[in-house]
Amino acid sequence: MLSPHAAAQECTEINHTFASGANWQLCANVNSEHGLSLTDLHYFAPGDSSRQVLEALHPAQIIMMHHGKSNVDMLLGKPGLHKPVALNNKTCEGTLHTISDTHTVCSIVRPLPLLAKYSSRRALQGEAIDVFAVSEHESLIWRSNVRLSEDGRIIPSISLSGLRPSITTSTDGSATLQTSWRMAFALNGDGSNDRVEQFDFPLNRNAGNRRAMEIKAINTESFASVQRDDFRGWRVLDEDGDGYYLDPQNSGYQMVSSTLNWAKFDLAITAYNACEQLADNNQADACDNNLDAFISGESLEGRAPVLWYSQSRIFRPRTEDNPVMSSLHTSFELLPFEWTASSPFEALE
Amino acid sequence: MLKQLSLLSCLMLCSWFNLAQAQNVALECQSGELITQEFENGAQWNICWESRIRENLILSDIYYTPPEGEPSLVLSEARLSQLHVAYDDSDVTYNDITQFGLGGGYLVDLTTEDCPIGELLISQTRPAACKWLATGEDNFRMRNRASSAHSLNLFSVSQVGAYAYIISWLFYDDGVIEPQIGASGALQRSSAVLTLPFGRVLQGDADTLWLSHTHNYYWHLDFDLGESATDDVVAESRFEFDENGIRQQQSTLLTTEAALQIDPQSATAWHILDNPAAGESINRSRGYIIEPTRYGHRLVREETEPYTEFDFFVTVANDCERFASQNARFNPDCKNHVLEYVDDESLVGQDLVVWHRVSFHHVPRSEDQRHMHTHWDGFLIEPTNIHVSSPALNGLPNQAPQLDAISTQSHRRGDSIDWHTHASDADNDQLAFSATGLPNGILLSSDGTFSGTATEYGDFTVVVSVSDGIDVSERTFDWNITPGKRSSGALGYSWVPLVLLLVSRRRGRDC
Repeated sequence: MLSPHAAAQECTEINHTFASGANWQLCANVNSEHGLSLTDLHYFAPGDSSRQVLEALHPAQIIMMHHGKSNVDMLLGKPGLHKPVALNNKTCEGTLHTISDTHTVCSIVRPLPLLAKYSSRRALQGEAIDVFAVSEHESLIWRSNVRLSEDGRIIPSISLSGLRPSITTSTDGSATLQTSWRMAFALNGDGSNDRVEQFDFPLNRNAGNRRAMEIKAINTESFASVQRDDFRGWRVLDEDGDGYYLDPQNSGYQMVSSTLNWAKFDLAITAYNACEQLADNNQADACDNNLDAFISGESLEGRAPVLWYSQSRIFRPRTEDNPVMSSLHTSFELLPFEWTASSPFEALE
Repeated sequence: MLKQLSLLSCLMLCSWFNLAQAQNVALECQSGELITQEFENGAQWNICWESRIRENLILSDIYYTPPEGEPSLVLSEARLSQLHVAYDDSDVTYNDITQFGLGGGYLVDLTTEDCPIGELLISQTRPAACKWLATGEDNFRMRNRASSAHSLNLFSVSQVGAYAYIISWLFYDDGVIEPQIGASGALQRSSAVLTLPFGRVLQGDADTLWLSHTHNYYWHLDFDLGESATDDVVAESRFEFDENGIRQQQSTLLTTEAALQIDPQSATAWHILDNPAAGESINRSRGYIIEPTRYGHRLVREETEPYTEFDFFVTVANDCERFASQNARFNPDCKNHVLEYVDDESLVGQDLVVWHRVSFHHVPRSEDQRHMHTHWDGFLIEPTNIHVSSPALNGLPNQAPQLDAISTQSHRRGDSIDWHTHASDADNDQLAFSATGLPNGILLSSDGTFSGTATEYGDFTVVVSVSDGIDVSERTFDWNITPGKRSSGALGYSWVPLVLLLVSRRRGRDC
């Protein structure tokens, strides 16, 4: 069941059941602040029940830092800064959900081949449902997509394309792209009893190169960074131990900025505050402007945690980007971690 | 090496043979079987494949034909060169390719249920691989049109202990190659000592601690771009801030064998270039790029495995140097691991090999019981300046934008300019404007707005272009700038001293 909060928004309900019986249910909207905005995400694993994972999931900022310029372009912010692109049957090969004339969301079911394979047993073939919307700002156009897999994974992604930005600098037109997502957790329907842990596995050269697992509770609002050599990751879990794991497997590059402090970090964790919607250029009245101000040392105890995750890519112009940019992608994965007691498809194999 | 058909054997097939020879595409594979895939946009891949006992899937003579282009060799060989698994308790380390092998007895015979929408491929009477066509992410998007990347997917499965490894290669219709490994099967190692900090106890299995571990995949890529195998160059690029706070690219051409590390803050990337011209920017050169963007994990254990300190290696091709580690097991007269292969040999004029590593740290979770869902790792090999333009646009139907007529413009020097030109597009595509021949001080933004202040006078012939991303339309108009008023920096204030002088002289008389 969708919460009253979701029902109050103008959104379209998406409810998809896979052949296995797994199900995703959510509300999808397109707005002038985030572009795509998903609320009330519930996952139903086969043999389980429908349980809420996230209260909200949406892009929190997209930054283009054109090399050769000292300022950055933020693509999300005040109304009109970016515009939704109305989808049609040429740009949505799945199901078109019309919220208004210009506000459309597309959902499409995709195969997930080789979901699992063991020896001579037949491979388990799976599926996922993609929910996406498209926005534009000047010559840039991007697709914000959330893939919800049959086995409970959540994979947000942003693909940037459009006509090449006009180049007015002497640096070959290259640019740094950073995308950020906001994830407001509400595991099993109540975010106030969710907590965040950081996992590290540092190498101990004095102990035979062993890696002891170190789990640190994150109790106050804070920034965090990927530590590749320590295999750092983060888990959000509730009082029953049910959780999801954010594994920064796809974070190879790190944003470097001389002006934006928050953007230098891969992750920010804040206590839920409804007015804090964008990582920067936040527009809500009587609210701070960006993560640097949101993170004020507040305790996370008894508060629903919100994770803000950022990834960076480099746009390197080549002939393949002329006249239309080959899509530049960022994506990451939220993995069920003790959400079910075993593989939800065990009985089906 | 290609097996050449002699002209004497060319009978009824002569015309086809001659055409193929002229295109320099593999007709037969000296070892293995040929796969040819053509896409709707006109791109084509030709690949030879086989399964061997150690590495399983080996690809060779990989040719790519861009849309409306000519076939060109990309890789003479591509394969995994080691599958290294290190457990967090450090008690066990596996080098699966050399200790066990991925082919032979470890090769899993595939069925149609493993390959439901593809074609099973036979190697030595066994259904060793599956070939199928996949649709992936956007490869471009415009306001009113979008295209998904289509790929030829080739995979094989190896069962090593409890693990099932899916060795996969994707070849896209825009020239991208994506090597992947899928890790599935079941958890391998556990301990009865539940208090050890090297793993986790899972739900419903209270007496077992399943151990965390890292998979390290090493790929061996023998690039032979274009017509010669010995004129390729590898370069490393980085982005650093200069003294003005501007991010600038720096690049280094490698002239000797090298072992390199990622640098996330510098956005390190590696470029394999086809005979670049002297002094040519790597951004203009024809070749391929590998960006380590899927590098959130990185196993370094340099005391025991010194090669783990590095992520990317460039060496001179040497048949003796076959595996990334434990090479001496099979080649006792050769060096033992990839870091040892880096021994200052010159890369100039040599056939180069690139070795790339990707790591994945696996923390066991209850959802891994009893069988794990596939975790995929890999990277992209992307073309740079291989195509004339965006390859996905090839063959797309389009109606060109229509630019409104623009009348002759007349302004005075110093006038503030603010007016808009218009265009329409029957496909409702996004439009971008540009212009040449503008008077100094005047700009045309991509949305069609003229702005600025003319700083010179004269008669100008301006050409305005509007692009919908596929086609371009143009209009020419005349723009006359008369001398008119000067800028406030010259004439605007030159009368002030005169006034002041007149005022001061009047006051002097009064005094």
